[in-house]
Amino acid sequence: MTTMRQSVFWNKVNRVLLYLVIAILFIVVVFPFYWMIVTSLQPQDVVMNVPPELWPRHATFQNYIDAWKFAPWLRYFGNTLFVAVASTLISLATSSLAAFAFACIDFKGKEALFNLVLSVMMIPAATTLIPNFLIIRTLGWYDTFYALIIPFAASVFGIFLLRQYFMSMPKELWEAAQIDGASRLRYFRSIALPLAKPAIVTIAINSFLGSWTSFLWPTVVTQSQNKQLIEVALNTFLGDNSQQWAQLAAASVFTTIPIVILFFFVQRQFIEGIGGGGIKG
Amino acid sequence: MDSKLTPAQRKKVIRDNVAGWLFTFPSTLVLFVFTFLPAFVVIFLSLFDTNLVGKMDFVGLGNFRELLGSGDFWGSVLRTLYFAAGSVPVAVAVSLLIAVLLNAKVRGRTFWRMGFFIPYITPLVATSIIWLYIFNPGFGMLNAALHFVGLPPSRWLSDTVSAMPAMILYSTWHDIGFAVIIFMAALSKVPTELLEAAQIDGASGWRTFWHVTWPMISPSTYFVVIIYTISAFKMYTQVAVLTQGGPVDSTTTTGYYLYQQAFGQMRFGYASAVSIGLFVIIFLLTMLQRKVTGRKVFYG
Amino acid sequence: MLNARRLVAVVLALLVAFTSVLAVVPGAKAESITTIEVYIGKNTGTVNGKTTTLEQGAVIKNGRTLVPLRFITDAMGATLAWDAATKTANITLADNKIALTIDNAVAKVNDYDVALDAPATIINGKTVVPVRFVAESMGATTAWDAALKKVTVQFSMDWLTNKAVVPFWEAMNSALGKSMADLTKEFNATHPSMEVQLLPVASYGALSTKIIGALAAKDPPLLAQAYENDAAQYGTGFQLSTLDSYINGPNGLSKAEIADFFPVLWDDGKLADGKRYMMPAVKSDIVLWYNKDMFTAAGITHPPATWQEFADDCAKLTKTDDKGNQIQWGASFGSSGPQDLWVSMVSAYGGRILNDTYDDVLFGSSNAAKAATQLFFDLDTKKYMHYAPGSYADEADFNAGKAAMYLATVVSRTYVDLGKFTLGEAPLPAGPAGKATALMGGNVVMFGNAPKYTQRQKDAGWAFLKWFTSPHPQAVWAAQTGYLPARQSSLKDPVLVAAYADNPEKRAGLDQLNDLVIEPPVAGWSASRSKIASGLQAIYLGKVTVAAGLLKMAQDVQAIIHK
Repeated sequence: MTTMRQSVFWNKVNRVLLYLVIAILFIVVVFPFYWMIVTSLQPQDVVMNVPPELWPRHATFQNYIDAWKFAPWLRYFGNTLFVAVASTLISLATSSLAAFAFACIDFKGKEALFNLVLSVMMIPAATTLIPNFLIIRTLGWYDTFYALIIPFAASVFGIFLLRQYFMSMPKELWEAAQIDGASRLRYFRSIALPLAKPAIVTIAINSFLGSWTSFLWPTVVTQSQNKQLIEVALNTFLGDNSQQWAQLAAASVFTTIPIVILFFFVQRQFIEGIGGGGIKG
Repeated sequence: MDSKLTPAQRKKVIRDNVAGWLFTFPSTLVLFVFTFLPAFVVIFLSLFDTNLVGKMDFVGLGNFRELLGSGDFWGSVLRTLYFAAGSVPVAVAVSLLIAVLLNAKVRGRTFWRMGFFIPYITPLVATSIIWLYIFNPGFGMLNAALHFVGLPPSRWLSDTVSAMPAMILYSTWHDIGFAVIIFMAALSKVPTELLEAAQIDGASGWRTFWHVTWPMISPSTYFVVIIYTISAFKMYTQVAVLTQGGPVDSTTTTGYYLYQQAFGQMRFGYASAVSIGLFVIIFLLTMLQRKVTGRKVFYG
Repeated sequence: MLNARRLVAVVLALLVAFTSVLAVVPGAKAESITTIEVYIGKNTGTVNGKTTTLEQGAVIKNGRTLVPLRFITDAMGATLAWDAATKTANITLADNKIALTIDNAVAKVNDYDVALDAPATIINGKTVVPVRFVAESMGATTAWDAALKKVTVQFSMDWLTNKAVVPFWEAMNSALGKSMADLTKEFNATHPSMEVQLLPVASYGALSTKIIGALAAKDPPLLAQAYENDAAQYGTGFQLSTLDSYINGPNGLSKAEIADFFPVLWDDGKLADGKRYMMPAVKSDIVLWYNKDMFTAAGITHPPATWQEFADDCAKLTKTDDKGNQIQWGASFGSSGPQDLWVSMVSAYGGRILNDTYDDVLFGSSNAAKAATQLFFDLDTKKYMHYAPGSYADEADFNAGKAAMYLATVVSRTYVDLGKFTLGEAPLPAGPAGKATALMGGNVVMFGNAPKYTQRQKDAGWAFLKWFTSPHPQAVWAAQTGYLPARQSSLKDPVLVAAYADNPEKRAGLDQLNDLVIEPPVAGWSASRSKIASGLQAIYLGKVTVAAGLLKMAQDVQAIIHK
């Protein structure tokens, strides 16, 4: 039987232990990023030394200058941003329209169509890689931005999530709007969409992230220098400078920073979206 | 419903049908062209030996016969299963642990959570590059750390035995953020009355967890397991950047093997057969998972 | 009904807007081409059908046709300025400037020096200039009719504004890329109606994957660097073209020029079907790079001449520090083309890889293959050599002073000549059966059958190939990068003479021309190389014995090539 004093003590010890364990795990997980930054600031002849220096004693920005000169990164950023924004906006538009229809409109073949859409989720991207390549070629979209955007203009995840949201809206809202003479489209635009904002933000962030980090598909469908995306360009940089670790680290840093900054601003919505979305049942 | 519709009602039905189809049309068109249609195209392609530039010989089931007898293909399947079997439980366990720890009324929770989540949102190529450096057997950080604590070094990505475990390590690091969020949300939804009731009954922390918390979060656990398994099978970028399938094919997953056959050897027909093989395996796996865990998922 | 109608209207409007943006297809503009004809021995010249009498007709000197200066410049619409003091004709057309000095065999085109076989000269008081040089330097084409002894020059201002674009995909990076870029710039400046656009790709693997994707998408480049086995793979489609029609065409190669190519390199241009698809332009072979300072410190006076000597040297060059950690190896190996080095060694030991028809494996149980593989295996086990399979990890070891020797192609010079130590270059050591080194670098192919390219572009592509493989550019290329010059007369070019004189060791690659091992020019070799690479990896990592590993490698390769 422990006394009150003893259990308070053990509680305190537990708490210290708790923070300690969390801190250790945190450091281990975040360390590669710290290491990325440190390495990028080291001169090249130091980065292959054993044992490695944990703190850059001879910090220099030369690697950033060298890495930046290697390729038109600004253009690649522009390309990636353009593709990400375009595919996000378009897929949001198509998904919300479709989700709204599935949730609020009674139309012939709705069940069958929805099941078909669901079944699409089963088909992995690897299976569709080659035929999609062929389809792009047939459409004449090889090495164009269309090939990077249009295939992602629809999102089953988006349709699914938004449908949940729309279905949870009370029917009275629609009935009230109808009395006011609103058309379906008007209702969709002014009432349903704003209510689904949290879901929309989640889907948008998800889609943007997916687009920004895409690698295999852009490699397959683009060839011109001026259409390269960030990830592909970074891999090219790796292939050309495979032992230039300091420069590679610098390039990794400046291609990562934009997305980390962006994420910093939207992290709450994103996390709430993933955590709070309909997972149960 | 055999009562006839009034003209007004009929008009509404037509309007609704048109609206419904119109609203869903953009999505379904894209999904049809870029996901549904390809499924049939890949089946068609798999029946040929083609390099997509002139050679198009019909071979019927020849590609599938080759597939079934191909050591390389089955090797890649085994390796992918090995990767999934290694990474999924580890990722789930670690992220659950972190979520449990963070859930215990820790201060600065948002800050800690962000840290664990950053690997997940950073592009794979960028993080693969830094891990390539960390994994380097000569001067990488990992071997330096091992040396520091007196352990022997490992060849990590440069040896057949350690390459896949190294990939698992990297992938786990990258993926846990996602599951941490899911688990944190699920844990926060466990009704405190149940937890308190268990404690009043004298249950220890561990028993409370196992008998109350674990079943309550089982839908999330199931969700995470499925997501991670599917992504393990799709994995390509890490392999392309870190090992290019080596050493000695020890990290050639089926996804990578597929790409190699298509864009490395110009064997698009055979690669299509591999695509279908991959799909079948994922499908079977998902079915199996559902069967095995279905009974254990508790939908409160 | 209202909302659905509105939606339909919006969608239709969008479609119309969309398609009208796509619809603009520029029609082919009619080019206004000026045709100029001159006849050898006749004093007449014809411009677009109108004949005029010339005070001085066309003549042939040194095999080159010379025509009256003013006649040709007027006919093409160029501006002519005569500098009496220096006896130089300055011709300007659009942005292009040519400077020809009387009896000077070097002319200037857009600030670049061009060597002439026949300089401008004065005959009967009239200045005559080499017509092909002047025409091509201003963007015109020339054609020679041997029967009528007539030179036809065709020109259009449109060709200067709409240049014939030649996309060229290659894997030249860093210093090599700079040389390639500089040479390409020179070609583009001296051939103003043509524009070669380089696309450097990070590695050979990435290059061939990119080309495969492009071929499958029916959108290939016009020129591409390709290894023999890659070309064989691409050739199974219809887009790769043979080069004979260009070699024998109006801007082709004479018998003397063909004979000027190093025979072994020229022969390498053919595939297994006997047809010529490739031009040798970026050829290299494997040499031994060594750290002279480390050699001196270990008391070794010269680079190893045989593989056995190499092994002995490795033992002498291995060092550990007082704590027992290894700080230096004799050599580092494993990442820079291990399969090509292995092929070289097996040949040096007297073994063969494939049979003459490339459909049977010969190395499976050959003692030569075993001995060659065992050598490195033993050195690796004894830690006299460092097996470093990461991308260019062996080169990194050499540069960091951790390995005394490095086996890689002649082209590695710009990557290892960093001034940190005294660099040495030597031919590969010889085996019991003699010397052998693999021919590498690949050739350049032309996808001339791809429908998207016009005849002008294809002619421009060929013009670049011809120019790049001509003696002076090859001399400059070899001097700057270390690549083997494709032409024998390049060896007499002052630039290359100076480079070799400055450091005679740079000849190491060239001196091995008689010991070259050519890779099998068949499509299956590409997949075979991967199997050999991973088979060697398994052996060097100690997963299998040498004998067992070789057997497995042979089985894998046999399965590929013995279809």
